Amino acid sequence: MHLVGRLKTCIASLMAVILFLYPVMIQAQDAQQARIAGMEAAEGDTNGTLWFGAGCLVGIIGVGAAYLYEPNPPAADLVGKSQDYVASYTDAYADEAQTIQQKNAWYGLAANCVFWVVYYVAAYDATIGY
Amino acid sequence: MIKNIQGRIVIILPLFLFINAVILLCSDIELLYSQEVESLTVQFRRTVATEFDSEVAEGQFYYKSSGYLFVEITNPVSQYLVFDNKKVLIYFPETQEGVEYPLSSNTIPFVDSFLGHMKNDFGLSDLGFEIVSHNKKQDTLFTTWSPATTNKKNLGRLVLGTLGEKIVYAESQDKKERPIKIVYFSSHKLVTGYYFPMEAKILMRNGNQTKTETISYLEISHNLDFPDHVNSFVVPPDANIKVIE
Repeated sequence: MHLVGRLKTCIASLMAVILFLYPVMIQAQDAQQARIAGMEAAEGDTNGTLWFGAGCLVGIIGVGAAYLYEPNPPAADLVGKSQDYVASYTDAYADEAQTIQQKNAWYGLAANCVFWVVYYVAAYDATIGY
Repeated sequence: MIKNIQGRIVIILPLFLFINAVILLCSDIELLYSQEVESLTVQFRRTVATEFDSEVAEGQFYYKSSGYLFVEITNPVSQYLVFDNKKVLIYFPETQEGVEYPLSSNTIPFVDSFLGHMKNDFGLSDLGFEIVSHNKKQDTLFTTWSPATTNKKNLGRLVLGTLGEKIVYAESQDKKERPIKIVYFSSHKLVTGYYFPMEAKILMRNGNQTKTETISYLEISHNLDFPDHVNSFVVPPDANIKVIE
């Protein structure tokens, strides 16, 4: 009897915990889906080639612009979405887009540096040869 | 003979006057139908379906000819999307929270597609597009539009299909002339001189995934007063709005 009582208490407590955690779990799942959707949208919308070009042609200024410019998601993706979804989506979109921008801008800057190193070495060799 | 002429004049003149009156009346009706649209109120139901799930949103949007757009979502959440002065505010009235950020492109595709029917060429000329070719399939005229030289690096071509005065098809292409978005318009209704679609189906390609958006424009009203919560909408001073510059 004592054992049955304890078992009932245990089951009731477990159910109470699950009931309490369920909306939290759903909310977390919603936020997770929003983050994934925001990141995917940012990958599709961000022009990595453009930022590579910015880093390559404009140099450190292009890299700086990649850190300063914060793109925003199209409003159509947020129609009918919950508040938590909108918040998670916009944050994930901005973060992912900026990551892509910055990465490509640095690659562009690196390509720019490599070009000038090769150029000066070639020019120096040509001068020596002359 | 004179009698005959007089007799004919007696018959023909009133007939002529009657026909003239009918023509004038029709012109007045035409004028009434094509009165300028100062505002539109449109009730809609939007279904977005991918391979894995589908979502439904219902609400109405309120549009002013000044460019102000207020989209009110009533299902599944209570949400306002306010487009004004190149900014968009996404606001949740129940919790008084939201986010505001600059608008980098057009408002919402299913609203822009609808409002484009107020122009014969979908507003493409105003955006700097020019016709490059056309062909006719059965009764539908398809015109291909190319963006202005300054935008050619960023925008692809557009194909517009018109059946009489109704725009029934719109396709946007990437720079390699592959379709990225196709819109089918159907069940047109004549409202104040414009043929607005009551149904639109948008197919969008995003990588390997295709997304289908079906919009039913359930009710269209024009030049009506907006509800108070739309007309005099102001963000409460104690609302929590995240502003992104």
